[in-house]
Amino acid sequence: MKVSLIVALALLMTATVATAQHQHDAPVTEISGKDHPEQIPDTMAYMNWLQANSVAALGVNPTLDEQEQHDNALRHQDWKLARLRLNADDDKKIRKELAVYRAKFEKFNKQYTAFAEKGWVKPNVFWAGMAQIISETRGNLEKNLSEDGHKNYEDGVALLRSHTRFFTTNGGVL
Amino acid sequence: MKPRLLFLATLLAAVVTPSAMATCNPTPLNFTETVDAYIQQPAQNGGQPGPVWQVVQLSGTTSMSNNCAPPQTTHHVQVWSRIGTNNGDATGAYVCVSCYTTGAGAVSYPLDLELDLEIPSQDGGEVICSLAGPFFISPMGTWFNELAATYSKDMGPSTQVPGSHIVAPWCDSHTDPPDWNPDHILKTGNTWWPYYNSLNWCRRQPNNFGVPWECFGGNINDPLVYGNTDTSKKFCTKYDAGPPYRQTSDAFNKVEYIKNAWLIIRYGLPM
Repeated sequence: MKVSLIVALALLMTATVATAQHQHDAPVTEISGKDHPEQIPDTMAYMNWLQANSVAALGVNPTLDEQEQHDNALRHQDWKLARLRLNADDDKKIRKELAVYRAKFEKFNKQYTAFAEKGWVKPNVFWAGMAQIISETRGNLEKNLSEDGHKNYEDGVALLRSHTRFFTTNGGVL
Repeated sequence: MKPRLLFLATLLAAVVTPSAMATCNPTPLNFTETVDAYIQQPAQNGGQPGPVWQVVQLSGTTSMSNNCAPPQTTHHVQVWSRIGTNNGDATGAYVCVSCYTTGAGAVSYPLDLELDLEIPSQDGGEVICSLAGPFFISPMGTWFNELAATYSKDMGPSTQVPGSHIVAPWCDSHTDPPDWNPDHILKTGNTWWPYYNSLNWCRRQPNNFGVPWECFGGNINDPLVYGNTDTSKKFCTKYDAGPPYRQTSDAFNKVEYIKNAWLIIRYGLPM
């Protein structure tokens, strides 16, 4: 019996390794943001824009390379945000809110990653947390930007959404 | 003894059934690939605008059920971002299977080269598992890009979009409608102008006659917009108009616009 058990376990391990080397079986659905923008989950669409337009804060005692990368990222942020044609007040406010968003994201993702590495959480927990952060950020931007500024920022999100391809194996459930 | 046999039988059944075999594969739950493009502004003290930047970002989450993968298993994204012969491919961080994974690749292309040519670009990416190899691909697509220039006439305040004006193309008949065809505009230099020059980075797929262009500025909300007072219609960019209009319009307008950008940034808007 003991031998049988060992064989069974060995078979199980073999099967695990063998199947892990194959492609996944779940069919992937692709949605074009150009044709069906409404089918891209808001959490992902806003997160993509916020990630693309925000810059992670520098750590303590950065190296010269890190400082240079950070300066470069800030220059790119300038060119990206210039497209929104915000007035000076809105420009200042959106930069501040983007910095707040990025700090929240970095902190949450670090916490989530620590739990995920231990196998304690699954991706739906990540998306639930991000939905909360993004909802707060959107609310702050709507409250703090002028009407014109808010519209221009929403146009920016919509534009990036139209250049998005969304792939899902579970019907888009986050 | 019987319960033990039953346990073994169950275990073996789990090993050999196809559904169980599939459970240890990484599955891409939700991924997005975005492509953004923007034109680098001239430095404050003068200089031409450009280059154009293309940023491809691939992000998402993966599932591997039953925690069947060894704890040290990772996955990461590989992003493809290319314009012409320039390559901005990038590799994202290696993170655990259930972790959020992301990567972005930026590539630039000078605006002052090959203004009259369509420039090919590629975007796409894949997600790679340390145990299973590549398990998800956002297929690489090839696009054809152009720097499109359009001359527009201000048609007055918009009732649909408060704070903006409606614009209509003001292009020579050979190049109307233009590839980049904005329908409204925001204030430029704190004032409204009777006419506007605008530049945009556009792409299409496939590169066939009549296929519409997708541009990276939604309306004229790009920094490369300049007020004008010239009432005459101009050659706009209309690739399918073919030679000689294609070369004439592109070469004339783009050089003029870039020159205007340089002058406006350095000396301010003309009165």
